[in-house]
Amino acid sequence: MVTPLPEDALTRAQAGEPAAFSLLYQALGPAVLGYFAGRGSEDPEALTQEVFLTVFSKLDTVAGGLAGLRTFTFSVAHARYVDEVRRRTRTPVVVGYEADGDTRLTDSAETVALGQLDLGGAGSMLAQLNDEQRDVLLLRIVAELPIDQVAGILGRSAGSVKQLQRRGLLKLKELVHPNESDAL
Amino acid sequence: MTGHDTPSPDPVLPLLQESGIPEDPALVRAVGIVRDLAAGPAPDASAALAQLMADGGKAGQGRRHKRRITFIGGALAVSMGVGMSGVAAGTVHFPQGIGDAVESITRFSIRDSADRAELGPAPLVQAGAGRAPSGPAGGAPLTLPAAPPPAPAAAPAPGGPAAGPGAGDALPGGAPAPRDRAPGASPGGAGAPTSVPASVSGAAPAAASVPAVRSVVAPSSPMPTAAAPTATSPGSPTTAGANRVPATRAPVPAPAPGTTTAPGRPPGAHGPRQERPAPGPGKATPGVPAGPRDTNAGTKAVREQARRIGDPGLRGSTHAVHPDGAPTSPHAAPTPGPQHRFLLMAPVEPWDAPVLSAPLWEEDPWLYTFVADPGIDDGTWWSLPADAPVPVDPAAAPEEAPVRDGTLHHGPVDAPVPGVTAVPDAQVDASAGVAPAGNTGGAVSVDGAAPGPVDPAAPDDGSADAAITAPEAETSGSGSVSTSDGGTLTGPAMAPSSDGPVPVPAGTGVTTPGVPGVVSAADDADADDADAGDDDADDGAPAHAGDTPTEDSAAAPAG
Repeated sequence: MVTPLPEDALTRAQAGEPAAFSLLYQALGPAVLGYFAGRGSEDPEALTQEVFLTVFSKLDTVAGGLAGLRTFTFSVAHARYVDEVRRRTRTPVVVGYEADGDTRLTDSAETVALGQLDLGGAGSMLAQLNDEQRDVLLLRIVAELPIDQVAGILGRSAGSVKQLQRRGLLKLKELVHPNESDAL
Repeated sequence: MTGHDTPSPDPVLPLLQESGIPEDPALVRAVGIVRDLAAGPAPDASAALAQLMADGGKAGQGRRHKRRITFIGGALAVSMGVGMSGVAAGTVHFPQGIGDAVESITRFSIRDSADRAELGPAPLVQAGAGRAPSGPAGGAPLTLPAAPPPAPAAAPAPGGPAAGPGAGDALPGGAPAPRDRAPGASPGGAGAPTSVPASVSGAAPAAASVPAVRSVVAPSSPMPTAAAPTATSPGSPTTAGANRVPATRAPVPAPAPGTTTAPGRPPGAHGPRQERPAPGPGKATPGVPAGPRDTNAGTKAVREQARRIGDPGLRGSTHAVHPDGAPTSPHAAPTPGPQHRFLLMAPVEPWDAPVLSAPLWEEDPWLYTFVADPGIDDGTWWSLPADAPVPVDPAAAPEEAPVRDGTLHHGPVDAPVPGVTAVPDAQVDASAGVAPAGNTGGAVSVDGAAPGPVDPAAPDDGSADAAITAPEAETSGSGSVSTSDGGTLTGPAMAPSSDGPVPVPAGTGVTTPGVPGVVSAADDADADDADAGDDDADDGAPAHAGDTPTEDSAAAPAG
């Protein structure tokens, strides 16, 4: 549940009030966590902590009010996610045998049920999208950022973001209406 | 309830409208599912984040600041290390640099003072006395700074000890007392029997003290007619230097009128000198070795003196010789101008010895001086040692003296030098005499009528002085030769001649081996060997005091 965020929360936080920091964290933390979860990050919570460490340390430089703070926060989140992706691609994963990671095993009924409950099918649907469409939809739906800010974060033009957004929604529509697409 | 508390309008519809997708309940539901990703609670803040929030966002700056501090600290450490290294290096060299500076300053001061002492008018008189002992016109004394005084003390006034302190102050002719500063006996100076002022004790009779090579003052040049000024320079602080040769002089009989005292070089060490071109009669004779003096000429005193005397070019003119009052040639008119140059020279200090030694012999200007002296040329060229001033007494030179034929010499001087007879090394019979090579004391008979009798007055007492005796001329240990005609001629080499002054090569190279700072005869000879036309080339051996007359006589017949 999104914690209501007072208008002066940012001002108070910039003044060094610890309670304001807590409010900001409670208000933006879930969205950042959801962003990393939606991107399939290995450790969304750790990345969320890293994001807020960076945001709070540079809080004095944030301008634009809460909207600006939100944009800045997800910009950092996106950068952290990119860093994680790069780290994963460059660092070989050396792990011991884990039964959970063995694809030759079949998930138990419990695991399947929890997975369906937790994600509600969101993860499976987002997994059907490509990375660009997923980034745009997450920033647009989860982060609730406008197109221009998403374009700024992703380094794309607004038109490109709109096209990615449209194609992503159409992809979701196909996923929720497989029969319809088959009918078409 | 704030705006955030109230359910925000469904953002899905505007999203679908922006994309131009018709509203679809299934799609709306799917977008709703995605949107619920952000509906969960915020994760628990980590310790670092909680600390950061508790600190009001300062912790993060602290961490960054910590990195910055680390970097700055590292840079500072590096700079400090370099700085300390530099300081350490400077500290290591600092004392030495200070020491050098102090030493140089002190040395300069000492030398400067020494030079100033030399510059007085008295040295001029003194030097002139040494050069022109008996000559009437020789009254103009000449100071030979770099050259050792010609057998000075050797010619004491008859009937009295030659040198008493201050005895040399009064020169005949009313010359001002020379402020004789005994030049430090330069090590390179072989045993040129020059009198060392300080070393010569007043009680010592006219004896040739070990010449200080390139020593400045010719304090007591033998005064032929008058009482010879002693070589001692009273009150000369430098004379008492440890480098001075002690007053070990062989007693020399009083100079007879017409006797010429020749500051000598060791008999065997002169050969190469003969090759030197000699200025014609009347020409200025190089009086001071340019080499060593050049080093000193830079001193303030020298320059000042040069400026005072109006000498435009001290360096170039040092070789020009002849000082005032004592014209080089009896026929040549006295040239008062150049004589002042000699005054500029400061006594060679012991530390200059290594610098002023051998190489400078090659350029010994005295060679020219002596050769140019009238009446001394006997057909053989003798070069004065750098430390031996060549007194030229016009009167002492007999007019019938043999004139240099020019065949034996390759000197630039084509004009004959009347009245000057030089005795080559070959003429010196060291063996017959008393001073063999390396013999510090003794008499060397000149081979004019060789072997001449050994001067009984010059016993081989082991002193650095060598008394040279000729049949008709008696030389002082300092190289001066006293002739029977009463004239005294001082020169490096003087041949025994009954009709004129007999220059006898003074034992410039005859030095006491044990005397510090004095160049031995062998050293001197080695330096001379470099000269072309060495008489000793015949025997293929460098000239030494011990060379027998038979070996060298053929090469250099006495004039």
